[in-house]
Amino acid sequence: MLKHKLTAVVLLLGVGAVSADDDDHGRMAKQDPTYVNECGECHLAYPPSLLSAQAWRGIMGSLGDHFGDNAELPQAERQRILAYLEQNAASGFRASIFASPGSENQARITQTRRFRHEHNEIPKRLWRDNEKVGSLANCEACHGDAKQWRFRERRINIPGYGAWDD
Amino acid sequence: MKSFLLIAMFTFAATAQAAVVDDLLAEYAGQGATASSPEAGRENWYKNWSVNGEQRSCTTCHGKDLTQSGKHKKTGKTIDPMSPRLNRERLTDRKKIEKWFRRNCKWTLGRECSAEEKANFLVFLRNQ
Repeated sequence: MLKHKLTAVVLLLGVGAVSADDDDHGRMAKQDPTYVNECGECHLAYPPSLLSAQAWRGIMGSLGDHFGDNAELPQAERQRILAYLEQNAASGFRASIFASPGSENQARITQTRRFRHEHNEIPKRLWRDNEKVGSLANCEACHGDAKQWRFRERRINIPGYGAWDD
Repeated sequence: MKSFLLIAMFTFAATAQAAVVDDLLAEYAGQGATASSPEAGRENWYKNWSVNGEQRSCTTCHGKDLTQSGKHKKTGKTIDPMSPRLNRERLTDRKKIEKWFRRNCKWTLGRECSAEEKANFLVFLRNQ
């Protein structure tokens, strides 16, 4: 009896370890309403843990030219959001896999090692040339739970294509 | 009862929109805006502005039909309709209006809008 219970526990732990690799559930920060409101109007308010604190500082310090757009904020909101992002940014080892090589003050989440690793097998016709997607920065197009900062593989639905099975 | 509530909601929203717009119009008048013109607002809304070698317009993201959803040119994100009649949340939040005037004038026109231009936009939009 005990042997069966132990086996069950080991198996469950094993399954847990495997699925934890597939998405970041459990590691996403609590959503700050100011951040989501102010930074989620033109694109998904991206989870802070997808970039390092340094990368976030660069972005928040250059909102007048935010990847070609103007995303300026009143000072109070800007500082509050920056503090939130710094507190919840990728740190330690995760900062290295979410590092964005080569960019000064405009780090791109889609250029981080981890992100590229997760998306580099997707043919361009499914995203770039897909009218309903257009860009890998358009998370919500395929990740139905993106607003809740959940990106589970089995919940992916690419418009015009369907589920994604790695 | 249900229709009464609906009417009450619409009236409340319309009142909220009117109050915020009137507030801002008064402020813009204080900053030098003269009589505000919906026609001038419309013209500026649909106009093509040349910025950084690009043609930009409010319609670039908001679309040509204010009763329809727009789409962010770069990210593809859906933008709710601008029409305050259809979208009861439009023109109800003063801070939001000012924030977007600042960002979008700078991007679309390449500069901040004058008080008069902002007033014209508001009197144009509020009847859409």
